[in-house]
Amino acid sequence: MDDRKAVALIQRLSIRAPGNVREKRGFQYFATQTASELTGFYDPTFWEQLILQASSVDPSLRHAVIAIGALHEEFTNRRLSYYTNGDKQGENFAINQYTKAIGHLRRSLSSGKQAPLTALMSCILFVCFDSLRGFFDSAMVHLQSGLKILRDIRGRCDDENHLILTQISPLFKRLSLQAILYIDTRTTSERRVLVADLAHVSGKENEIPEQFESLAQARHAMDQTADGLFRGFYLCDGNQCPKSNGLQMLRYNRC
Amino acid sequence: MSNQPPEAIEMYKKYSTLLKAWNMAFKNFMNVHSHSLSGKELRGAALLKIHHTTAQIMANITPELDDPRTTGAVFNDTERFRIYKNEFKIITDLSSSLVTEAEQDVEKGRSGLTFSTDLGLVGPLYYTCIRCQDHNIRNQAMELLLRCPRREGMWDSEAKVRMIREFWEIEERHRILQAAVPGEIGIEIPLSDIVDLVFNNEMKWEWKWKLPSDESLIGSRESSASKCE
Repeated sequence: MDDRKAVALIQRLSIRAPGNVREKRGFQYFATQTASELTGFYDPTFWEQLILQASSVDPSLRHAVIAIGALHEEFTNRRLSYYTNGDKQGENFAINQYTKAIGHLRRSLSSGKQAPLTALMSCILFVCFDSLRGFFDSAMVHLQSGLKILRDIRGRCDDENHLILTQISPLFKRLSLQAILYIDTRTTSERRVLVADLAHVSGKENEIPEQFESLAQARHAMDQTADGLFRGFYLCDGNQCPKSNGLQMLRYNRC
Repeated sequence: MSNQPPEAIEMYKKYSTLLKAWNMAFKNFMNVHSHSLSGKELRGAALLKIHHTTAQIMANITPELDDPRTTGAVFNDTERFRIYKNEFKIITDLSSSLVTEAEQDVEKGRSGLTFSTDLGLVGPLYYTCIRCQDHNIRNQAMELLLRCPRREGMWDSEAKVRMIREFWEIEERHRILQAAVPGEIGIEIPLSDIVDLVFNNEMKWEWKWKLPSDESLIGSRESSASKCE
């Protein structure tokens, strides 16, 4: 998609998006500023296409992206700090949107109308939001819910399978990688449960060629390798070592 | 490592081999394609190299199967990190160019790409500050963390700067005490036996002294290291 078309799409989506003025503006901010920020140096498909399109029709996703966009806006304006007690208005708006997102997801899950792909995207957004806000326990709960859905739908939903393999699973993998320091502080039994959940996502692994063909391939291989290495670390039991505890990759594990 | 689950040892062997293969495949890719990559792609490549280098140190530092010491003792054996000075320098050198380019972007009114949900620069720079034994490189990593605020998923540069500073204090106390009493205790007590890292909600973290007896060993410092107000 060229830039002009992308802008046209964003404008169309933003105008059509339901919600109050502030939510419309929040969605616009996410679409024009945050999505490309989260893409970073790499493949824009998830943040700049999939999520934008899906959140224009699903209310849970829409509130969740508004919430993340609001955190991003606060960060950009230097108002998102753990150490200052400044104006919390923007952050409160973000939390309010996140709460709405969770409520919508609950309702659609209980009505049985929730498509697995949408539920997975919601999980991803909740993990992102809770990680960015420093609520690591909650981030891990959402991560593990997502991993369970991934395990349950494996082998089903042919149309969605390609998307799940190429976009969704790699994202879950990366979200678990960024949690390494926190996982490192968990108990051995908690880490082993996580390893079992992660093993399903890892699935079939590509071999490493003699030469990568693209940056995307190199990135995928790096994620896959780090994921395997970290899972091996997480399995190690600190109790096996008299007096000490844990493999202590980045720092220290507790028993 | 021999007293760890066989599965863990297998995975370690498999993925540390893959880590080496990755480096070769990446080198070959860069030899052929680096001149045709865009500025953004080059920065993406630099970040991958930083992540690879960090993971490589973590893999190399893993205890040998026949090391009789506990894994905690090995992981906190600072001498083992000394030989990775060049690797830590790769991390800080590449990070330095990424930070500089981010600053230039901001000057031009573009985003410096400092807000993300993936691992970025903060994790590797934190690891360098905690593990690198060369103080110049450590300080450079700290300076990079201070230069522009980043939030990368669970990694917040401001919080990490505070965690590192407190860790350095603890490390220094530990060093002085170990140097003062080796005759009486006779063995090195790994830092991991003395403090735990604890996270609570809203990024409230703490280097927590483990046992009252350790406190007497290390002095009368307040047990709560958290400064999150």
